[in-house]
Amino acid sequence: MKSIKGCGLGLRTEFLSDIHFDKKSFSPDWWEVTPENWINMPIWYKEKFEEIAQNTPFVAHGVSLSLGSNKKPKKKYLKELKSFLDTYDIKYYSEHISYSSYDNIQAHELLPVPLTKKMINLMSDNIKYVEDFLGRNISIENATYYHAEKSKLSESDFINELLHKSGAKLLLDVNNVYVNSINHSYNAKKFIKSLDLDKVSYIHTAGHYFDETVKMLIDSHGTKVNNDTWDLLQYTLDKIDVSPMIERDNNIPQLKVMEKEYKQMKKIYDKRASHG
Amino acid sequence: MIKEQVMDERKIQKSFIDQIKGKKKVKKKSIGVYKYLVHHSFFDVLIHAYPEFYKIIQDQKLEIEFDKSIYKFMQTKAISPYIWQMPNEYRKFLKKSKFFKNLKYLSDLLHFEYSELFIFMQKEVRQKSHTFKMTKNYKISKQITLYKYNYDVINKIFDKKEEICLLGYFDTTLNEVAYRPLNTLLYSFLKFIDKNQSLKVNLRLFLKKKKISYKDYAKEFEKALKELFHQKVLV
Repeated sequence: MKSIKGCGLGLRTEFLSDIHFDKKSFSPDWWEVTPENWINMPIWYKEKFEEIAQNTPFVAHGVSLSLGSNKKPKKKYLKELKSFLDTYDIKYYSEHISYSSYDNIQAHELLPVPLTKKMINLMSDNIKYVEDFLGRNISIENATYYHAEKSKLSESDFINELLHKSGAKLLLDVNNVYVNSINHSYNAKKFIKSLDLDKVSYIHTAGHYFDETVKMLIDSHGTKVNNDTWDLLQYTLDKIDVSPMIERDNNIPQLKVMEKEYKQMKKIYDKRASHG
Repeated sequence: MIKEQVMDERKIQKSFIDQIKGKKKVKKKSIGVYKYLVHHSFFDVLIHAYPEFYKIIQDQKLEIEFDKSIYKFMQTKAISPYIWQMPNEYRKFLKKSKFFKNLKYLSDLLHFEYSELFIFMQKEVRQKSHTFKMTKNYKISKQITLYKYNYDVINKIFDKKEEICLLGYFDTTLNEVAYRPLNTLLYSFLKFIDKNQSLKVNLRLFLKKKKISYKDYAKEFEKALKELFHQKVLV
């Protein structure tokens, strides 16, 4: 991940018409794309997407591989994914420490895996299978979870051991850490400190909201990043030299709104870099 | 080897999935959060893909049946990793299910509403040449919809049957999905076209079969077909 420099932003179709390549126009240092949203992109988006790919590096972040699933990812999808990554020369691909399908039936949501040694073995096998197929070392993201049962390991022990066994890198989502820390009453900074930070490839941040009905923070990617999460990002960037990015998947505002948030993140990133 | 390793985990995951997809009663509030989130993901995609269908659901107070259908669908037929393909999976699921049996027009309505997404998601438009000639071979583009409905889906009239032949295509001038009603004869001819023969031969054969004079109708057909060529319906 060292070749990805600076800060990133999630690319959405809503932004396409506002992306230009003259010096005055805003463009992040790199874009993160979700392959599931772009593999079947209609012709009306393709030309612009390709123009962006030629001008700005892409990093890919998947949502449907379901690495914690009882079945291996389908070859048909992996072929489409590999072709997409190769076509746009995307070297870095990440997924989640979760599962989103069971017996090949989709839930279209990231579900919590049992934190056990057996699950580490299963996920490591799936990760290696995917890496062999894609010809790439992948990163895996710490996910939010609202429920955890029958877990024999702590979350950080599970993640560290999974990274060690699979050889995957860690996509550290500081918003997920924050949300989990509030929902499950632990110290977010201590949690980050307990992770194998040498394995972090890059950092995610995003917005969340408090749901009055369930009395929990929900990782919605639908609001702006809050101050506690910025603080956690700063804390993390003081420890490791990696790139951060902002995800926004719901209530998508105009690109100029995201530009403001991006600049806020960039300020934190640059401040840290000058200390480095 | 893997099967043995993950047996307990499979049970845990299966039980969790059964709860969030409505197959079993939710045991804990925290599992209920997932039940809500998963249902919301499906619900949100479906009501945006099928706005008129959802309006009818609301008008006729069919929300409970709608929810039941979503849970049943989630348990069995949501297979594609691409979320944009989910509405079509749901449409096919409903067609074979017992849900909404009183809505006789449902199949037509969902086909019509889904066609907009289908046409929008087309990946490329292939057209061999820029000049239209009746002596050339053409086929119907795979990126359009050509369908005979039993109800007037365009004007949303569902209380009486009315056959309507509709062509759905992407209008590159307006930059949006467009629909064009076709007369039965033109619709039947488009369905009749054999890509291995020229349009002219196709038309002669078709009109002969219909016992219609080629001389009387050829020009009118040619005009309509030329227009369809420019709309990239004939490729």
